[in-house]
Formats: sequence, structure tokens, C-alpha cells
Amino acid sequence: MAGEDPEVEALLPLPEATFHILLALADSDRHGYAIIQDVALRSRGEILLGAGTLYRSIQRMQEQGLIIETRERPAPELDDERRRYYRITDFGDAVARAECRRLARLVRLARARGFAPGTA
Amino acid sequence: MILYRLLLHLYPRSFRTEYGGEMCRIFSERRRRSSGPLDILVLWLEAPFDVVSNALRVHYDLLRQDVS
Repeated sequence: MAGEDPEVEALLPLPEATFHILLALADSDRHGYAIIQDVALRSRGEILLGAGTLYRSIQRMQEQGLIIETRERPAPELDDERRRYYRITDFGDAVARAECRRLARLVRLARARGFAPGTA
Repeated sequence: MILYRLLLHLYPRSFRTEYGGEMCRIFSERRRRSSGPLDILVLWLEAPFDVVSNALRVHYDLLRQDVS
């Protein structure tokens, strides 16, 4: 799409799991199980990431520079030192926002055709 | 748990070394939080599918990296 950074646009459209992981990390560093829980909570139980899907996505997202593993730990009472925490990068944030814009454009197009509720 | 660890051997060694521990912890946590026999059955029905489908993709990703 016009106006998007080519490096960002090259990753669009995002796989659904990737997008949900970025959303989960948008407001907080999380470990893997916390990401799964956050996605399930926000989707009201509709999306339950499997561990295989999660970690394959995490591996690819680290390679793409969307997330990093962080050595910083949350408050001790919340921390499990065995777990590995992940953080969204600035690039990951930019890609997530670009994907949101892409999805919003699709919804506008659908509404204009009467496929979705809401005004055009 | 032993069965799940065996399933993880479908992944490449490098992936298993990197993420296998976390995957086992998640499976264990889900099993612990299961609310009954039906939940546990669903967990065990989903696990092989999740592992097999993603292990194939990880192998494919590695192969693509090797030939590129």
C-alpha cells in the first residue's frame, strides 16, 4: 500500500497468530504461556494458540525482528525465572499498526458493499 | 508428559533445544488447569496435531534456509 515502509509492507498480510502475538506484547513483556492466555482472553476463548504454533511463530518473529527475548524480569512476585519473556520491537509495533490499517481498509471495503454491519 | 516429550522429537533438534522446555511447561500448565477428563482428552487430541503440523513447517523453514 502507498505510504508504507517497504520493509513493513513486505511482511503484510501477517499470519493471524503473528498478529495476535504482537497484540499480546503491545502493552507488556510476556512469556509464552501468558501470550496464550492473553490471546484467549481477548478473543473470548475463540483463539487458543497451541504451543507448537506459538513457538514456531516466535522463532520466525525473532528472525524478522518483530520481537526480542528480554532478560528483564517482571516484579519478583510475578516472575518465574524458568520462563523466557518476549518484547515487541519498534519494528514489530510498526508492522502491527500497518496490519491494523490494512484490516481497517478491508472492513471499510466490506461495509461499502453491505457485507459488514456499520455505515460505509 | 513423557509422551509429549516424545512427540517433540518430531521437531528439529535445534528447535527442540531452543523451545522444547517452554513447550513442555505450557503443556504441563494446561494439563494442570484442565477442569476434568474431557478437557484432558481434548488437550491430548489437539497436541499431536499441533506438534505434527508445526514440526513439518519448521523442517520446511529450515530446508528453505539451507537451499537459499
